Amino acid sequence: MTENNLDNQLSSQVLSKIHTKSVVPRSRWWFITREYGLLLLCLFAIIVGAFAMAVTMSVVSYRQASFYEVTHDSFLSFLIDVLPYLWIGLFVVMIILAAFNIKHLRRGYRHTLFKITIGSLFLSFVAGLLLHLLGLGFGFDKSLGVYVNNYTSQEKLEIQMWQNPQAGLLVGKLDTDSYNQSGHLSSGPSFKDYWRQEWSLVFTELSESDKALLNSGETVRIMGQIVESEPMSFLVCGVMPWVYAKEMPMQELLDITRAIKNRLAKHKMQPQSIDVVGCANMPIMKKIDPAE
Amino acid sequence: MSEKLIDQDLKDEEVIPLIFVDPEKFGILINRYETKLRRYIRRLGVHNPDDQLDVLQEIFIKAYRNLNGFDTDLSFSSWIYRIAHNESISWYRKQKVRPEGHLILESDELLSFISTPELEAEAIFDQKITANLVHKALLQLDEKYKEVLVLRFFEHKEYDEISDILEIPLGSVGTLIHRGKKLLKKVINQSKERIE
Repeated sequence: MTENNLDNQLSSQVLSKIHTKSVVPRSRWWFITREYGLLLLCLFAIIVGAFAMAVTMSVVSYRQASFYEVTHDSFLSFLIDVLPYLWIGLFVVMIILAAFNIKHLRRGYRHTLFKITIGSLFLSFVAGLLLHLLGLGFGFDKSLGVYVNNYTSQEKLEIQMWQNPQAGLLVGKLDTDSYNQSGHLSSGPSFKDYWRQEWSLVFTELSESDKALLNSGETVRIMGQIVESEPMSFLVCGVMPWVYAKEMPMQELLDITRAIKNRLAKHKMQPQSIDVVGCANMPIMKKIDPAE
Repeated sequence: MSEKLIDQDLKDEEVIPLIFVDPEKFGILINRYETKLRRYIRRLGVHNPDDQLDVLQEIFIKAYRNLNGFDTDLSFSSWIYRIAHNESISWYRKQKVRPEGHLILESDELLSFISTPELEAEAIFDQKITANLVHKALLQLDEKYKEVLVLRFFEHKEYDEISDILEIPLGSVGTLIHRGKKLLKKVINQSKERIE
């Protein structure tokens, strides 16, 4: 059989098969849908990666102003506890997904995997930075914590660290009925903590600025120690704002942290007998260095 | 007859729109590429003529089914070679055999292959470099090197065509060819020493 006959034979066989099996060309829309589907997936991955990056950035930036000495023995142990591993892991997964989708685009093969991965990483990073600067990383993490029960947001994590009465730490707000008619704190004001327990506060050693913060009615963190269990009373030695009530500029956070450290250190300089319940003997005092 | 002559003058990319109107026109492309693709898939490891026929049928049917997906930025040749390459790989994965290509080394192909800087001019005069030696040496290389060397030196494809056929970056084509030739030279030299 000549080659020409073989060629014609194959041609006839193929055309016959196309006819008998009713093979038809896939529609153009199938290819367009596939291509745009991959692009959308890629975009989705980059956007989710950007949110992951934004949350990570807001966590890391807030943590710089954290009063970690109060809740942890060292900065390392603090960092291990607060790093947003879920978001870091999600960021990595999204970068891989974005790179995979780009590689499978019609002309994706023309670029090396390295270039595609770096490109995806860069896009997610820049978009994440933008979201973070707009405050969306902070807000997104907080909202997820409110609406998703099993999600441990940074706010929930902060509550776990700061709502610890035995360690002399409480998160909550002052009951507005505690104010007298002239707007000053009446004696034994009631403080409702995160667990909805009510504490009678003793604020004899509290600075005026801290009283003002407590007086504001906003959610705060208070440092001190338990005076009595029944009825529950708490000696307040220091007050800090609750950063998750509203977003604060970084400089303001740093100033607040520095100021509270100084105020608490002053208590340390007034030694008291170990048997006396006082600010100099509060549990966290061992971790506080003298004012810088 | 005149219609046949006109069809023969048409470029591959000009035939494609005609196929959507008259599927029989697909025969033009089949006839044009059958011999080249048969030789190519044989080089990739499909030896048996019956298997070649099966694989070729699959290649052309797949091409027909995906005609609307033909990227006009590519040449039709690169596109159909890509399908041929992928179908050959699928075929020997189904057979669960390691592909052993049969390289039909014509003398001019052999000369153009070995007269490259890496293999040096001395090789042209070395009577011990036979087609069989090169063939065996090529079989010892990893698939990734063999694929690019076959396309470059036996199918005479340019780098950008190889990039489109194998769906790898252009830079990678150059790197693989460069490394492939070096490795091939090493294997050939080792084989020569054994013969001597």
